[in-house]
Amino acid sequence: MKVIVIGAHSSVGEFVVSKLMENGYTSCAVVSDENQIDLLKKRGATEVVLYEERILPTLFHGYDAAIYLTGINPKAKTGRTVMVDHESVIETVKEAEKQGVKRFVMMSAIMANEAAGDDSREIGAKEMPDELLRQSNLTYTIVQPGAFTDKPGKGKVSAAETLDSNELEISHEDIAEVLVMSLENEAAFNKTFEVAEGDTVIAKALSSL
Amino acid sequence: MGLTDYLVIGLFIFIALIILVPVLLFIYLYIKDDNQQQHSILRNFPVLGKVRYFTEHIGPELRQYLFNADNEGKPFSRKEYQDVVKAGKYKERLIGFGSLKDFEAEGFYIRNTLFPKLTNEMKVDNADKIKTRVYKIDGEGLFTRKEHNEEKLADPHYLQDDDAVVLGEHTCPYPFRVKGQVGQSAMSYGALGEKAIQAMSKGLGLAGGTWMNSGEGGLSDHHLAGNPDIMMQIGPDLFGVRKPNGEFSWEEFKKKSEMPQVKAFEIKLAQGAKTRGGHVEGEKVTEEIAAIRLVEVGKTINSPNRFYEFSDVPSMFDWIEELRSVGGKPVGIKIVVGDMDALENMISYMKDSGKGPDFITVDGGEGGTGATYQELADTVGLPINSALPVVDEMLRQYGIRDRVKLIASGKLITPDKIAIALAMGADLVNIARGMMISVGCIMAQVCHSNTCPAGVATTDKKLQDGLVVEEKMYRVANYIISLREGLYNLAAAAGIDSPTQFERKHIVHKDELGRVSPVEDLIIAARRAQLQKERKVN
Repeated sequence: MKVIVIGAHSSVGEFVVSKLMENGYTSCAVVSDENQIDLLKKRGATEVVLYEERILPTLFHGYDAAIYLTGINPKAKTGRTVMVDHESVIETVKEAEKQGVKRFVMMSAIMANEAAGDDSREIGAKEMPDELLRQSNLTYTIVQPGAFTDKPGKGKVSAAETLDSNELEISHEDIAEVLVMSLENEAAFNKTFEVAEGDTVIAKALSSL
Repeated sequence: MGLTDYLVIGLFIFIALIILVPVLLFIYLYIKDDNQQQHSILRNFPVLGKVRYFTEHIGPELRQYLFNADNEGKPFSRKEYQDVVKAGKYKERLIGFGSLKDFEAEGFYIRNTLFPKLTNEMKVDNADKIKTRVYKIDGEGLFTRKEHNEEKLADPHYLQDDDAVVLGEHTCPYPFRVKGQVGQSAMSYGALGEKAIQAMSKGLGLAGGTWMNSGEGGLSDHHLAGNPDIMMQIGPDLFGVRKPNGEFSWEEFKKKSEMPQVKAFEIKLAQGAKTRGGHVEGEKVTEEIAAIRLVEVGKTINSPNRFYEFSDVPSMFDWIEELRSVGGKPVGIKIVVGDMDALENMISYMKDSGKGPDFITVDGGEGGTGATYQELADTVGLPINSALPVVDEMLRQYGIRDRVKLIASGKLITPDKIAIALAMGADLVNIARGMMISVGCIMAQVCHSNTCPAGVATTDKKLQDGLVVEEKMYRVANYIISLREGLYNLAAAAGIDSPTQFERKHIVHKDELGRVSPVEDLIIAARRAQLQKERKVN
């Protein structure tokens, strides 16, 4: 399976690329700065593409699946804090669909659901991109992670539609593995779930969704 | 007699003892002090005078804890000390509400640019994360601090491959390529205990992109414990590479150079602290130390302050050439800069002969970790900020700067000080005391006495019990990583994408009156001083 990773130069993205290689996938890492190309090649990306707006219409050609890391807008340079860019998500999802991608795994915002119950919209529309993806015809998986830590991965998580607790944490390495393992795990198809540090081996946690 | 009576008698005896014992002790000490002939204060003020000796003894610690302001204290201020400890423990360098530095005082400053580099524009290699451990504070009370230790995947902040610093690139079959600019300065096993050396070795091995200088006391297994890149130092006493009669042993040297961990050799002509030969007390020469240094067990070693192998520049260079061709690895020299004529002599011969060291370690007069003679430590040799630009400039003048790398040392324990040294011409930087602080040194200033309370500069087994290798090694690694990260921060501020690009133009000197002057002024002043000296001699 050939997988394209959008937002590959983030802390999670680096691990996604390594995990794809470890699991035998061919991967293409999309980055926003030339400087990141070497880094991602070292981390195991088969190919690294520097994002420019004009390549979007052909970006997904030949890829079976996409892993999209939100919070990373391919159009914005890194280091700039952006809210999830709704338009960029719509555009990307539409292009992916048009260009023949079948699987679309998206890492959503942390605690995306808290925004849904907030009518004042003070928290921001964190759940919006999820909604947009659900309305598409792609086989989607939306992963809503806990707060990130830079601990080494344990390979064990807990995953469910909603997890109780307000202090959920997950390491960059573990969330990356969840995203990669979701690619071909049918239990994760067309599902939205929360994931955090836990006691279940990742593959098993996904299968029991 | 009833029980009550016994109790009353018991109580009386008890009270009598409480009063009597101290009184007797006081009288005993009074008479003893009064009669001794050594201390005049005690003769005049028996017992009471002891307060003087007691407070004098615990003075350094008391001043550190209670009386020193944040910027006071030597050799390192409380602030500098804490910066090192925090970097090692929490991998944290953030401060709140501004700097505590005295901005009125003279010193070097880094020139920032209007348009610094963004993080993603920096040429840094963060591909291989380092699995380290850091402390996280859970809560702090007046007498307690609750904190826990957790694993962390840290960005190593290596230099990118094409920025790596290479020693002996064109001269030997096995050049030393290093992807970081900060390493450990020479510290021998024996001066430091095995636990301190092991903790440093493991920490440096974990951090990677760095090196460990064995010190002149030979290469021990403790240095190799964490498999770091080793720079083996050879002093005039030739420890570890000598025959029983004290001559240089090519056989032992070959053995050492064939070890994969040994990446380079450094010939120690002088060190900031020891511009005189070393001295090791016979009782410290244990079987293990004797085996490492290749000397006799239990025999006091007085080492010379100059090599017997050579006496001038040409014979030294010939020896270096031979070492390099036998070992196949880069060979450098460690010097303290005092007289510029001698330096110029050597550098001009380097140019004429085409021979010479692969690197020169310039040790500032303020350098030197532990035990030495006060008169040498305080005044012999120029401090690093004066010595470094002079050496750099002279190498440039003779057009051989590209043949030799410069390693600087001398109290360069924080990223800003390292960056200033790099801008003055250093390619790499050596740190000794920063490493000691990382493994627990509290600056008790007793390195020469084998009674180090932190178990760092002592071979005493009991004192070393306090030092846990598996805990301290992570602090060493965090400290190194944190320094490299800091260097990248400063490089970004100066508008360059790697700390290897620091140049003179990136720093400026400010005097007490706020006047600024470029580094070149230092070089001009040094040259003028030399000319004046020559005029007086002639």
